[in-house]
Amino acid sequence: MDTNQYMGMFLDESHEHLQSLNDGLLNIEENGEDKDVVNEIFRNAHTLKGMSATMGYNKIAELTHEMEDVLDLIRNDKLNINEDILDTLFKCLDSLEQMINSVGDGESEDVVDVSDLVAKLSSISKGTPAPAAAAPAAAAAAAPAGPSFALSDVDIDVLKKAKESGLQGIHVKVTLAETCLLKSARSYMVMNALDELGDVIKSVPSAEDLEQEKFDRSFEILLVTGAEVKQVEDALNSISEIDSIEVSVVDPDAAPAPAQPAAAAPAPAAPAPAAKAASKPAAKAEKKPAANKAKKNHHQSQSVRVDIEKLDTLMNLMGELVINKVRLEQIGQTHRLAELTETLEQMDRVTTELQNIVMKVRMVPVSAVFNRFPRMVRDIAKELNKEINLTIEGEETELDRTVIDEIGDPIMHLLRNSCDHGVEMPDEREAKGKPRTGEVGLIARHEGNNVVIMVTDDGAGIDPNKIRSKAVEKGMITQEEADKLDDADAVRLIFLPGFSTAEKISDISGRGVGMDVVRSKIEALSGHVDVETHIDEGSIFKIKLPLTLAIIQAMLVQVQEEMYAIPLGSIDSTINIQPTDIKTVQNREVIVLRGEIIPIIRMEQTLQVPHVKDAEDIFVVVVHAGEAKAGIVVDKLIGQQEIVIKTLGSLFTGLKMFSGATVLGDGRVALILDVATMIQ
Amino acid sequence: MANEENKDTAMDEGIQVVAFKLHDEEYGVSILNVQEIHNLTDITRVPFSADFIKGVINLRGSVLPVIDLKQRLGLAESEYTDSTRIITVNVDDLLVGMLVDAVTEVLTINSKPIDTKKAINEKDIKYISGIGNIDGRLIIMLNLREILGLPKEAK
Repeated sequence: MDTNQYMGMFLDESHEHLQSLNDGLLNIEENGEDKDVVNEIFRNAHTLKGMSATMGYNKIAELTHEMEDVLDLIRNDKLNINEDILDTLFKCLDSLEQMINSVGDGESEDVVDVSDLVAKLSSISKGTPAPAAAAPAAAAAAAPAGPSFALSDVDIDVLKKAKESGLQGIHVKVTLAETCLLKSARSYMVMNALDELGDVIKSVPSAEDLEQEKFDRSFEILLVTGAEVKQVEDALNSISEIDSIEVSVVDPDAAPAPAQPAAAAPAPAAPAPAAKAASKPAAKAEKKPAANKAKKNHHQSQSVRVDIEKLDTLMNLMGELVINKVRLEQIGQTHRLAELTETLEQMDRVTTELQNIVMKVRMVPVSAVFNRFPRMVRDIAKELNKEINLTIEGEETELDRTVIDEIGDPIMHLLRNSCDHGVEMPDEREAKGKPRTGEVGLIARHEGNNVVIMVTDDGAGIDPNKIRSKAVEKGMITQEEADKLDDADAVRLIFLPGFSTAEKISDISGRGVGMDVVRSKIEALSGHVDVETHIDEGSIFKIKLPLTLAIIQAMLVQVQEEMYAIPLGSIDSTINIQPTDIKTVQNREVIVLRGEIIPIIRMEQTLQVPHVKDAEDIFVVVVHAGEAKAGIVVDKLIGQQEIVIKTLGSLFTGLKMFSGATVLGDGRVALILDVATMIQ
Repeated sequence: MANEENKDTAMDEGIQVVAFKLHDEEYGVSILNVQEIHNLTDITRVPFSADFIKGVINLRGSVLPVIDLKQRLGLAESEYTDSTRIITVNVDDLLVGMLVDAVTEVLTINSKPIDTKKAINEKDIKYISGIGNIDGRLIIMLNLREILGLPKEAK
């Protein structure tokens, strides 16, 4: 089977399952064992196993299989989860991730030696009083005459049902003659003959492989049939070029080991392991209904993967639709066609909804990147013997997909730095009078026209003097220059290439490539990164990303005949005032709002809007940028709306007053005010 | 000086040109630069932008700057009419709309640069790459790169 076309899907889904496994295990570690969670991750491991086996990645399948066994025991209360088990499972996830990544890069899965982990897992699962789990290998060894492949739960289910309805499972092993030339043709004849007698439920190798002659000389088939063993043998004996046929009855209740060929009847070689092997699939089959029930309670949100280009096209088509709708509306008005106007109103609702959805589709909540960090911080904390608590806020903040893909690495760097350099050792923290557990925060939020992502810690902070002397020592700046720098600027030196203050180089950070890489990556996204730090209080790294193509809530306002959008994030309030409410202080117009004096900006004058008519009302939109506040005077408030920010393009570079433009529902373009620039 | 545009407007074989009117004069741009032609729609004024930029329009959901060609060429302003069009041109992947009084036709002409200095005033000469002559009908070929203020060096 050509598996290449499924590669992308396999990689995507594997990563998803790994993520759920990670989340689940972290959850268990924090909150103790929870049946639902264990069930969930068992299912993840199971799916992962199935997928990797289908793709032919046997090592991944092997490792996940062992994990599944351990999880299965935990799920059935036969094994109590402990730290050792959790650590082992986490390590498995890391190895799996490495293997999957390597496979994704087009290399082999053998990058990691999993044999230790496999051994460890099977010792965990065997070291329990429950029936030994890792038995399929033993089964195969113990029963050479029966099926050499392990029966899946499904197979056993089918066999059981067959038995209930008076049919029986028959295992056939066919070995073709050495001289056989057209092996696939022979195998096809065998299959055909068996199909006439009953249903072939399984073949090893698979039917496709058989067709493509991807097998040596022998193959095995599992058949559900009403026919007797003898009939099967007779049917097969009529086919030429077959060396030998072994036919045996498979009893699902005692499957698969004791099943013996009718012709030859050797006694079971090793009764003990065979019994073990038998008990496992049977037990599993019984457990299945219970597991199924648990699954039904757990709904995961479903998703489809779409090429982002298609979304762009969809968005453009949407725009075109809106324009044409507006044209139709105009026709309806010109010719006074009431029916048309009515229909168009309906259509209007639909298109508006459609437009909103199309716009939202491109946006991904930052949790898509954030959710891998709890695990990472946990590992770092363990490795460094520190106690660190990671708090994540604003995961639901949405960013454009393309940006999301890029910000993972920089944030990871910053988090590592905070854990490694920021948070001190527990004892040290105690000596400083801080709680032993260090707090690291990862916060995302909209701020004006930007998304701000902050990595905070309550650790040691960055000593500007240390940075100064280090920079001088490295010859990056002269002593004179260093002295001139104020503390904030001195700290910013860490963003220069080749700067690292780590005394010792550790795995986690401090190869001197950290911060400048972070900066260049963020700047490549036309973002900005800054740091604020206080010695012994902690540091805040602030990444500011522009909202190009992001969707924000905005207030639409009208000034004379022009429409503008003001980002809701910068708006404090809106008020309706009388002309007499405007006072002047030192020749500047101000209003007094709840005891606060707020300077006002008349949009009409500032933006030189052509004056068409006198406004009836005066509305003031009170905005803020940082600490500064101002009231923007407009003629009319249209309302709050979600808008998509579009860049104005290269012809307008240097135009700071607007952070972009947006296309309104009626197809018109409105400019988006950059409040910070406006206030200055 | 205006020869760089001639690379696009291969002289010998004749080129296809979208001809349009500004007042009574006929102008042309290479059809290879033209993406589409629109009817006039609402143009949103962009304060503080360059004089010759009329504003932005919605082109199927994306925002397209529109320049006032007459303003750029130093011609007198005039009212919009039913025949006013926006020609969307693509220059080095920069999409820009140009306001014109009317689009006349698509022509094939031999671009023969004639002594432009006598015909056109000195200030605006850089915006013109040549003048095509079809039986006495003059088509003024525009140098879009200059008009949009793009860096000089061609590919």
